[in-house]
Amino acid sequence: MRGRGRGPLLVSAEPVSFYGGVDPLTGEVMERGHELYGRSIAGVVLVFPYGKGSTVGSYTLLRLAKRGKAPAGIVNLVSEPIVVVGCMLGGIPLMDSPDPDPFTFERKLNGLEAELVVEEGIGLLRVIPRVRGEEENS
Amino acid sequence: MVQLVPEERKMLSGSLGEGVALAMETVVKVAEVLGAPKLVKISSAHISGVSYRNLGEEGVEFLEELAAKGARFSVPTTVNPAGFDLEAHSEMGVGEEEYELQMRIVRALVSMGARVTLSCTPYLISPPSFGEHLAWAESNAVLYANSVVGARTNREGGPLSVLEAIVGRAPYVGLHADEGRAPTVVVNASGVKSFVEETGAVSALGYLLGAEVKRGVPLLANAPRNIAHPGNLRLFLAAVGAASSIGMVLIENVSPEFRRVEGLEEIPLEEGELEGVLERWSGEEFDAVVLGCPHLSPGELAELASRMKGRRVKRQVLVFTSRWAASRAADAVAALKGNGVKVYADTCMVVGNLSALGIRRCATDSAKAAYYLSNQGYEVVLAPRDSLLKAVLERS
Repeated sequence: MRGRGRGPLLVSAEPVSFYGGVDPLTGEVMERGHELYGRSIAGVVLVFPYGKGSTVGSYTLLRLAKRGKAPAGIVNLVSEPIVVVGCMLGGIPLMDSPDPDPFTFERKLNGLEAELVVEEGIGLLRVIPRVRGEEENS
Repeated sequence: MVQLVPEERKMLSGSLGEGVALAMETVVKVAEVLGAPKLVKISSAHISGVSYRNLGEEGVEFLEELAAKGARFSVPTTVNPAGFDLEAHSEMGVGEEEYELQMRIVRALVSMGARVTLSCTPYLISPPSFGEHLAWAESNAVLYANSVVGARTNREGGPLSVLEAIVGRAPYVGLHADEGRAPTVVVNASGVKSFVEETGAVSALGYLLGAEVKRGVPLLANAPRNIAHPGNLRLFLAAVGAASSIGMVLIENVSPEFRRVEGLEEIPLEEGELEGVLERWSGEEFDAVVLGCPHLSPGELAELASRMKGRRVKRQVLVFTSRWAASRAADAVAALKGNGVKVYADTCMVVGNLSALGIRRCATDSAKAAYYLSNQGYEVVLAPRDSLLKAVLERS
């Protein structure tokens, strides 16, 4: 999905289920046992492999967006319809198939400020440099 | 790249309205992500995610905005159950605010041209034909259309099906294409065949198959004979859908596209595994028996009514069906009510609110209902319909 978003990076190696897994009013991850349990996805650039669970999850993304609690942007390794439709309806920038794979340096990324810019057919996730910049393209 | 025909490009351009353009843009994006080479025209759509409890205020606004932007369904479109029986909402403990939210959803869907079937069994109400392409979102209906009718639909998803109904097209990929309908794995049921035939545990069998296979197109070999009974078939397929992302099962003597393929991996189902499924929902106590996941057919309502002749219920029995089936089997519904059974249309135990009826522990014959109800915090007993009825009926 085209668009531009900026926020701290939040990286999950586990897939995310939006319906039932994320509170549609606050953006807090409610799925017990999930590595993001208790964290908020509001305003972050959320990086996870792909979505899972019920397709009602698309509406959860829309609900979050309408309340200003949606992620500022989403990066997926593989896009699937739940997240694609949710980002489309909620106007959330979505990038997929990032290269290099952000999970190879996950620890370094978490919490860093990043900007996601997605234009026709191309996405750029830019980690805001503190001392020196890191960039990746897709 | 998704190849679009001129009419599809016109929808995308916005000249047919903003709603149509948003719908087309999203359908094309999904097609791109799924690797579909083109879109395919559909002959009907079925929308899930209709209950106010699933959609919330923002989901309702989304449907209203689409309708206000002039979007209309371009193919016959049916819809899944609502959060309560539209004609018995106060009896079901539904407040005015919730009633109004649900009615806004219904009105938005109607204004876009939906038929207010409010049922998970569109295949009974407006049966599709072999080979037709559909955009159906409810998983049990998707499994039925593909496995029993030979119609073609993926598990399109609730929000996507709304958009596909507007543009009248779905991404041509997965179960829409010939190559997506070939069996990917053989499931050998010989180890559980006699157990299921003796106990009637067809729904637990579906759940086990789903949990073991998870995706693809399983071919079921050595299926128990009782699986072909229409009511059992629906229970079986619904349970497959609840436990997996499977959209089609090839069943011998049932599926028109059943064919054996050499060299596939074979997964045997064991009796112990099936007992494991039953044990998961094996309590003794329950406040109510809840039937109708999927919605009972007119035939099942009649069967139930004749079973109850001269008997009454010792504990609450709730039956969920479509308004279509209830009107077709009006005598049976009246007889059931006379026997003390509560019959509700438009809704079901999964998307409705049993706790508002004072129910905490329920017994059901549907593993799909058992799965979703236990996720919602209810205590659940799963047992075949016959033994549930034996437990709650007494001579009157």
